Amino acid sequence: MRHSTEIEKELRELTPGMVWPGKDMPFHVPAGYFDHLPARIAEDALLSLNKPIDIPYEVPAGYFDQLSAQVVNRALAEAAGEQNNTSNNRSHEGSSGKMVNLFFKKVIPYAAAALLGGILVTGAFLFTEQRVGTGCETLSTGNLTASHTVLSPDNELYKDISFKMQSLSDDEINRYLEENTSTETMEWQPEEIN
Amino acid sequence: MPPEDSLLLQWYHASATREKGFTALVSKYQQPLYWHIRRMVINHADADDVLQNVFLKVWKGLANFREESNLYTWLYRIATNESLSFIEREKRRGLVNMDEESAGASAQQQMKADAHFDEKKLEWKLQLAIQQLPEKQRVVFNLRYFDEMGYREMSEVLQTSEGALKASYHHAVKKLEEMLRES
Repeated sequence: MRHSTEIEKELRELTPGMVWPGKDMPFHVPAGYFDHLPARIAEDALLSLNKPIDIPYEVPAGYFDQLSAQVVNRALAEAAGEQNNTSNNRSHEGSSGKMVNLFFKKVIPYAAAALLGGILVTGAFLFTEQRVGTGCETLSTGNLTASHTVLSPDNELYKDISFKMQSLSDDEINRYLEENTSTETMEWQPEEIN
Repeated sequence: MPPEDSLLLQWYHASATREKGFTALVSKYQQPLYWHIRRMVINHADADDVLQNVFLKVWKGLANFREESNLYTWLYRIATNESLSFIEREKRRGLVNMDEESAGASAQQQMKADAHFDEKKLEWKLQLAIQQLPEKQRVVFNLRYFDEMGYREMSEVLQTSEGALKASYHHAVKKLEEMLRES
């Protein structure tokens, strides 16, 4: 957007009476420079799209020429090694490098899975047994303590019951037993008595 | 009559006409951008290098160009930044003096070495005087005087307030008047 009128007015106000030079540049440009510039720049711009990324590493001379042949030779050597392994079940040391026994390669995953399974089963067994043992121990100590407290002959309640039972006749006891005996198992409830 | 910026962008955004759009953009803006750069770097070979870098950046960045701003001011902004970066690089390499006064003197020497230099011509006198201005005032004066840019567009290019640009331009004009009257 050109603002020539506004700029000239501003200059006249800032520098009254001053004659400013023309706006043509005194510098020279090579002949035809601007004629060829758009095509040159467009070409460079398009080239920049396909320009390979510079990598600072170097590759030995002729590396890529021999690469395909090397890969084919190695593949053939490995295939031959695999055949020998399946027939002889032995590892070989070839000229291209150490050969790995394929039998062990196949068996190792199964062996590892079996070992892991064994560890898990043993662990689960030991864990369950430990929990059962702990439960029994708790039960026995708890119940025994409770029954000993209730049935102890030194207990006042026990003495009181014994005293009262002495005053009962055998007939009364037998009748009581006949009336209250049932097929169901009676459970001792120490809390009710205490 | 060069095509409108909106049409250039339309061509550029369509893959079939992308190259055509870019070539038309270069044709339209090559001269104003070249002279803007040349006034800053002085030498033609340097101006050519910087201009090519500018257009390469434009080629890569035009796809992301947001049409909120003016294409013209966007191009000038890239050109200004590229020119200033070039000058900074030259300073670091020791090819241009670090302080502004010495830098101005070496630019004057470069001009005087030009085969077409004529010290009697007012245009050359003005160019020599401009090199004695501080860098910011030099850029502001060039954009206003030669490119006839409004303060609003200049503030987009230089990312500076219009008031500050006006002050810089006025200072530059006063200094140049003094220098030209003396010579």
